[in-house]
Amino acid sequence: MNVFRAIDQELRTELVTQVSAGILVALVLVLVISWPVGPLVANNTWFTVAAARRLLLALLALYLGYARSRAPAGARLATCLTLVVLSLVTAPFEVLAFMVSHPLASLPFSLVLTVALPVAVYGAALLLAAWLGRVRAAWLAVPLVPLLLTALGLVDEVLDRLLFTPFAVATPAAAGNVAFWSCLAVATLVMLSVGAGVARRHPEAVPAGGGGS
Amino acid sequence: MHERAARIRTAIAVLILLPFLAATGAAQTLTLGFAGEVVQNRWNPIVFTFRDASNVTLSVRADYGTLRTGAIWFDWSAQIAGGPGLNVFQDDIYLGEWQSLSWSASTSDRVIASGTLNPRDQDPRASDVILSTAPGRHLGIYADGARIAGTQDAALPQRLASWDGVRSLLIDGSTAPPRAAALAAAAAAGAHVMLLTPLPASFDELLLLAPEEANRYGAGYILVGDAGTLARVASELDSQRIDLAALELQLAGINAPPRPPRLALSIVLYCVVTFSVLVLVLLRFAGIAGALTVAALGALLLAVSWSAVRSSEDRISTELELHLSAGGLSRSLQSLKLIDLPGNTVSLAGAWRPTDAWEYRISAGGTSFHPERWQLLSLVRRPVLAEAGRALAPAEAPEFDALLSLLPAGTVLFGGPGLLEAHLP
Repeated sequence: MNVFRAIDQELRTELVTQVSAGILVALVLVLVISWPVGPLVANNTWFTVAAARRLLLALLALYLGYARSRAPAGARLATCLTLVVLSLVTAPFEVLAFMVSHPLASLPFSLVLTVALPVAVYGAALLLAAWLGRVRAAWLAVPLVPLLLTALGLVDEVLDRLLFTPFAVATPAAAGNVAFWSCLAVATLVMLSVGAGVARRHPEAVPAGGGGS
Repeated sequence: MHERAARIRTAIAVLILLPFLAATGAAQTLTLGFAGEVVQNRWNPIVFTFRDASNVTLSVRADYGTLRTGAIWFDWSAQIAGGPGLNVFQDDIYLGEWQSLSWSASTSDRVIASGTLNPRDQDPRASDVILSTAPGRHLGIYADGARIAGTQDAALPQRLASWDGVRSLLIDGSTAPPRAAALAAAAAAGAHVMLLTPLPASFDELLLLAPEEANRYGAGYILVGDAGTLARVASELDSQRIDLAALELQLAGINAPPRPPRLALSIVLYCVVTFSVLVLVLLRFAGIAGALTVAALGALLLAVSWSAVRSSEDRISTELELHLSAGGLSRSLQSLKLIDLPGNTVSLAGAWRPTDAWEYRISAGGTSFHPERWQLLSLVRRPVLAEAGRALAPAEAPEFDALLSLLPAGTVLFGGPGLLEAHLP
């Protein structure tokens, strides 16, 4: 099946509608709650909205990575691209908050990081679930990915650098951080595209997955 | 016998060398205020004298904090080229209420002098400077409790800010005549400059500044007469003395803080809820085409509203300057209110001070502050001698009434964009 048609179908599913609704409601609430009341009170909305959006999409990616670990390669790629689409359609929330907050941060970096992080988390969850599935412990992927992210944050603490922490404020100085997560995201997309291509050319070579939600 | 003679020779040698050793020890001196009389919450002259040193960094570090706030540091530094022989560096420094104050002068390889000022020595009273070889003779002119600072150094500063903490300057003619520019600066700053007659002929140039008993220049006066006349006129004019600290506060109050553009929460809520519903409907019923549509629509709406919602500058400020003018001279008072929305370091040319307790630093490059995001900084610039008599329209707005109430009766206020000029009677 054509990848665009697969994404189209995925976006129309009950699951995507429900998680999209959940994410949008959460973002509206975060935006409203963090909106300042006084004229001279600092508008820090962007810091909350950007972190909340990144966290929600990363959690969704974690769940979908685990859930799609046994799905066909084409479906895995479609789900990954669905995450990209969800990042794009929720981006206006972050841009609006950025416009009024005037943070000392780079909006392009933040937007790129919020697309790259869910894709990378999805790839990590998918990979870990697939490996652990061989020993019938795919569920371990769900706690392991957050542990991995925490470990990366600790490495940053030890190095006193901003390289791996996924929830750092994307300042212009955090180019290394954005590059790291972008590389992981590209690697995930390449891995899934190659897998989908192989599956399309040799449908009999790849066993049909039975997992997924 | 030889031992005794050697001891005597050593003692004689020490006695001969003692003055030279003492002179070497006093080769570097720092004087804050006139004759060391530091006036708290005012700009004070700082004079550093040193010998035979190059590329000297003079630093003053004061803690303006309290037990409640913790340390609030003020750093002041100056780079002095120096060189062989005697070097004298002069500037002005604003000193607030300090908990600790230390200074040091150092070259690249050693500290050449350092010292501290005891917080118990703080005194907010303005000083009365007497330029005389015998200042004690003139104490009768002053009221009880006056803070007398006697000096024989006729090289008085010509910077207006040096005279900020000076109430009066008395010149009796027993020293060399000071420069007329120094007297003009002192008077414009708000001091009562008193020329005690009779004065030697070398002071004739100064007497040209005082054709009458009392002559207003800027915020102060130049008075001339004998001791009785000076005491009488000075006490009469004391009631007209301008409270410059109150005036600065009033000016800062009139200078309205800058307001960043704001979006009403109701509008934001309406927009984001509508957008969210649109996203859900289009994703559900139009799939990828719907996603592309909402992404494009979101981008279009944000691009259109960008300039309306977002302030074009990260740093917004309002500035108001007041000139106190008389006799062709003006003393400036300048208020600046500034908000740096992202919380960048704020670097301003010239010397400024905050009206509230803030950490800041003054160096050759200017004054720098490190505000929080969206933090309002209220600053006052070091006063300077300014041009008087600009072509301005009369300023009669009600918000200026409080300002006029702090100025002598008969003052006329003129105004232009960001500038007020008070013509004192």
